[in-house]
Amino acid sequence: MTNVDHQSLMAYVDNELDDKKRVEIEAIIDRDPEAAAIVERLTKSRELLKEGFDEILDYPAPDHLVATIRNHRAEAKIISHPSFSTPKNRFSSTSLALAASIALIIGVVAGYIMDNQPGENSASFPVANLLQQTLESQPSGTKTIDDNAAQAITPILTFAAENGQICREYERQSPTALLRGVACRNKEGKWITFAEIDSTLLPAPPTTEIGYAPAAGNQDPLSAALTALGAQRSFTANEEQQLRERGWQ
Amino acid sequence: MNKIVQEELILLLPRLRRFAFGLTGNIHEADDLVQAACERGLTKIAQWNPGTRLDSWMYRILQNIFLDNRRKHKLRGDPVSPDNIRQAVDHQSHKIPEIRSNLSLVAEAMKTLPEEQRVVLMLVCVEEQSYKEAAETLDLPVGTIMSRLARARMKLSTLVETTKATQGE
Repeated sequence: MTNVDHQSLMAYVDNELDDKKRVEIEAIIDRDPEAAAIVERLTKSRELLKEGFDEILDYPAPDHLVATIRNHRAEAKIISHPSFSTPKNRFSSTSLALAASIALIIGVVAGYIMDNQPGENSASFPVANLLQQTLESQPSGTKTIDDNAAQAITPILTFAAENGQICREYERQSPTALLRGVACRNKEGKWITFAEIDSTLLPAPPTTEIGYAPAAGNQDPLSAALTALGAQRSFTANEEQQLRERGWQ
Repeated sequence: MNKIVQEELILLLPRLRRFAFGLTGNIHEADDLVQAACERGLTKIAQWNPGTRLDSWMYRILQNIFLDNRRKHKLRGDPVSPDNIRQAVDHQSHKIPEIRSNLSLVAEAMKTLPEEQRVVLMLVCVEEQSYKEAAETLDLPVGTIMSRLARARMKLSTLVETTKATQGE
């Protein structure tokens, strides 16, 4: 073969050469079948890769990836500050266009208040094993992934409700949704979901303090749930650990 | 600002998946990688210079996570020979009949190349970045990009030809 290296031939294929150099290479290809064969291989390899991997573009990105991006801000904010002293401040913010979801959750909350016995019928509902086990055994901030159920659960914080029950806020990630919920532990030691909402419905944390809107009617559903439970402050990591080791008693 | 970046990132998802699939050869691993890259990217978004390309910045984050993970796990399984590729392709096309043969063919062939070469192949041949852009994305000299690219492509074309020949195409 003429004295030409693969890299120059490749740069020719990839249209990376200036005019002068391109003319030079074209002349070489014209008279040297070996160089021409290499150009052919380099061209084919590029086409094959492009055509092959482009197929991936035909498939829509899975929802959980979209949710990861959309919810990133709220998630990072809360997980990095797993405590609250004034639940109203924490969630109420900006004016909320959440009427529909509030109505939905209020149903759950109202059922709970009337009954006042979470875990016994009412509007509360039993939750799957994974959630039970995770809330029972895992510290806040630890993600538990169940590949079979295609779910991941991360307890976020723990607090005592007004009636003395221990409750935990958690995040539940499924392939189709990222949910935020609150569950309370009943006398039988079962965690009962009190409220659970799609976290895309939660407002992003306020970017300025100006958006602060403490009016009760403006609360997002999760804040409404926390208020209904009479949550005052979350336990510190130490307090939570002691509680957990005592079996939440 | 952040909101706009988030939406831009969502639009980039198919391309990030394509890139990640090229590196891993496995769609589940690819999605995990994309997820990790998006999380890291959003967490460090302050470090992104809005005057520069978001896609290149994300590719770089993604490849860093990929290379880190690989270093940690240190290559699972045996190095793949062309024979294994053919079997793997057969196996995969039986399992996932809807996958067109070109995708499984290149994905399996990619797995035989060093990780660094896969990255460059994806950036130049699939993402269609210029050598200079790829060099900037990876913070490498153009010469390094070119030598990796040339070696990878010659090897890839040999592999694909061998595979096709043994498959009787």
